[in-house]
Amino acid sequence: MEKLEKELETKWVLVDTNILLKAARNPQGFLPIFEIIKKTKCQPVYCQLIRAEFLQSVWQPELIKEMENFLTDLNIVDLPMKPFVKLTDEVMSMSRALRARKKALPDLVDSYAAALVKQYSPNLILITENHKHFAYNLKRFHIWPLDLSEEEIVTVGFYKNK
Amino acid sequence: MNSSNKHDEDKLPQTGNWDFDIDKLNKDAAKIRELDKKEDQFAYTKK
Repeated sequence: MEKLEKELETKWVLVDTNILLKAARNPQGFLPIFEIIKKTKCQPVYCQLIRAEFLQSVWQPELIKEMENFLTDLNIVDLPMKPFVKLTDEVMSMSRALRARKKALPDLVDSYAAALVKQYSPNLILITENHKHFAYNLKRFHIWPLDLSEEEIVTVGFYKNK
Repeated sequence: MNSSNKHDEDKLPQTGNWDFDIDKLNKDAAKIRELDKKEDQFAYTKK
């Protein structure tokens, strides 16, 4: 745990959509992660693509409003996707490297998340429970299982630039 | 935070001040779970 704390210290933590969607329904279950983010003086962030993926999952106006309230109350902030052209070039470069190895391509949101981690390295850490799409482009340096309920355990991976 | 970050020109988030109110988040989550049920129910009745 000491090693994780040292890695996280004063970084931005990019919270992937899959974590936000589950945390919005069960923040108590993610409390250990929130606590270490606070303890290490990190700032949770998203990008506009993750915000879109999070909010497009619902359609009732009342539910959309509550999902937005959750983001506001979480005090998560927007990390600029700049320069966007440079990020896009990085996405294409990573995708081509995967294609050359005959690997399946991640979706674009995950590709841009990985590009952001590279662009803002070493200051940006990604947390996600998707362990397939980031395996080739980022380095997983910690895994944290969370016991969300009797029926659900999630494993949060912490990723940084290779 | 690394002060030599190449994105200094942008308005980047500050670190070190983040906090959260778990009671408030739990209340938000309770409303979201309740509305999830309604959304599922409505989707079902429209099939």
